Amino acid sequence: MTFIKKKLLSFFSPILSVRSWVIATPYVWLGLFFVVPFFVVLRVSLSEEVLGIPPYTDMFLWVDTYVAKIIFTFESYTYLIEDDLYLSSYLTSLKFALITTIVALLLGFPMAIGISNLNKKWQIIMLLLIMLPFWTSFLIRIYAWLNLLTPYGLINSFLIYIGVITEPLRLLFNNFSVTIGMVYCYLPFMILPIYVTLEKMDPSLQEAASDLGAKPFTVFKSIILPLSFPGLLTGSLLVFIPCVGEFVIPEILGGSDNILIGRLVWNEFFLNHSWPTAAALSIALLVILFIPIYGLQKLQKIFAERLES
Amino acid sequence: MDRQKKPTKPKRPKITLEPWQNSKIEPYIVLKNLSKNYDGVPAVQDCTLDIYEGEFYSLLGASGCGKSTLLRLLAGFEKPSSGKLFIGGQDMTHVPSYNRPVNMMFQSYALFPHMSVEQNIAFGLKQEGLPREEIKNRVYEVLDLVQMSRFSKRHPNRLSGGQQQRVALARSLVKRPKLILLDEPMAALDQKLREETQFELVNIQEKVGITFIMVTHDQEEAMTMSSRLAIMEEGWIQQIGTPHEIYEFPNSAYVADFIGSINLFEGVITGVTKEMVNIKCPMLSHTLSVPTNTTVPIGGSVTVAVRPEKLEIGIDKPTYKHNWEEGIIEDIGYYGDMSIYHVKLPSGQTVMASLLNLDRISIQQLTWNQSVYVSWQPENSIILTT
Repeated sequence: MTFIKKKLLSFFSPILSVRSWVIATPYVWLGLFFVVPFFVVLRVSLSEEVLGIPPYTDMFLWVDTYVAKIIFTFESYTYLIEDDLYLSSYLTSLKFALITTIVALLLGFPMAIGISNLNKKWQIIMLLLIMLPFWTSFLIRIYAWLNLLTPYGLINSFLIYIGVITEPLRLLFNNFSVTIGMVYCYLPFMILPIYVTLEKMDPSLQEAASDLGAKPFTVFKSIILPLSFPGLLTGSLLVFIPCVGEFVIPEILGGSDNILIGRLVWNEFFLNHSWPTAAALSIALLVILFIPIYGLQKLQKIFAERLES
Repeated sequence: MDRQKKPTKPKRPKITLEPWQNSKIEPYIVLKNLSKNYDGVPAVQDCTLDIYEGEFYSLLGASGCGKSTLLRLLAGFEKPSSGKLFIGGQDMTHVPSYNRPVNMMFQSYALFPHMSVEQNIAFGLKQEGLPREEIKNRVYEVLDLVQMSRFSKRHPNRLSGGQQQRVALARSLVKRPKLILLDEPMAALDQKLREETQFELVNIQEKVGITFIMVTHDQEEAMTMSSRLAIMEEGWIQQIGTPHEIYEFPNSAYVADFIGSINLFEGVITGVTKEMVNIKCPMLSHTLSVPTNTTVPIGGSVTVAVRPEKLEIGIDKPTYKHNWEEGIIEDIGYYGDMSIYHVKLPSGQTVMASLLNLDRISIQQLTWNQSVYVSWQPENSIILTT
């Protein structure tokens, strides 16, 4: 009896221990809210559009009580390739994400360097200021930009007041306003990882370079830049990935000329009620994003190994 | 120590022994009333130093005494709050670090992790815009000097602590600077390696003939390596001198206590003759007799200092009048080469006496709780007034 009891206990002990529950939590979370939804979307993308609830065909056709036929089609995917609209909006989305990433990089890197050079007290204040906007709703912040950029908004009024322009500039509902909105929203995601890498860097490395005769620009070029590369990569990924699928910012601040992929998914779901096409669009986006993420992560690994001490 | 005129020694080319004794030689590095405050808190106070070409100079003190700040002022990483700094006769007070003929070896070594050993060392030469061939020659020249040539292609994180230290030294030597600053160069090494490296570093310094200034908190290291040293406390320079001067003629109780161990007796001057000063100490039963070297009048309070190795310890009662005490051995510290005896006096004060263990089987056979006599020669004790 005791033997069986022991066997049972040892079999179930991984399930019973607190430790394994703690370790399992992120996996359960990812499984429930990422893996399962992913397969749901994948399954929808492989079905056919029908009128009804839900508006797509069943995957399993029950031939007998225990025998089912699996039905799927790649029609939605071939449709994506056939219509130019999809390819061009993928490209537009990638273009916007790339421009946003580059602008955020150019703004965020000097800001991170500036913050990391301050004393501890001011570093905390500056980091708080960078994160402070997150306390306000994302939508309200975007609407604030709407107000700033309108023909009679703060920026135009000011420029007319100081006499730089006589007619209000067209700042809103174009590529410019979308880029501004995206850079504004995602800049903290660029600054923070770079700041962390700079903060971890031994300050005597810069002093050593200067001591060996390197002028400030050379110190930046040959010491700070290569050593902050991991932070630059992480920041770029954190900005680039959400920007590709961004929906709200181009919707509020953008014009009608450039349709981004986020908008297309919304259209397919809510206007055309073509769930399979929308799902296929999402899956394709995921695949497209996976390539740069994978590449950059590989690059980061190589750098991390080299700098590991 | 006061500068005294000594009979001139036969001059050797280039290397002059004890250049600070020769008033004709100009000091190479001059610090004039150099001070540094951090937000009003003084780190270095009114430092005036003369350092000569080819010296191995040490800045010694407990942590937080300002020795590292002084080194950073010399390197140009910090701007002095007041005072001036001259290197080779030129005012360097406001010259940025990249334009100073000075190289530093960092405590953390500060090797560039993304560059190989060769690239690390070549970095300084590249800044001078030298031709590639010459850079390579000079890099391998210093790598040979520190015996690291076979590691030239490795990255610093693939090297041991001792190897990293050699690379750091090579990197500071390669530009042939006028002055090399060493910030706790042995701090990260283990005891055995440290002793080896100490001698090697001095040998390299003699070979290249560059002036070295080293910061350390290890008094033994400073004593064995330096031509002269400066003892610092709370930003002030307490004493400057050769290791011998600092050890045998400390100018304050702080210096005497910081360098090596010492027995201190507080007392009052009771009599002054032409050669001797008599001092009565409340903790001792016999009066002390010390050669005159003080201006404190009769009745003034002073401290008498005696090094443990200057104390004689024995079982026979001394025959003379002054400078001896009876006590009981309370503790024995066995160091192999010598033993330190802690002798408790009737007044409760403990004095330390060290004896070399000259025989494998000690004849003296001093043991715990044994009644012994400690005594010393008058000329082996010093009067400290501060």
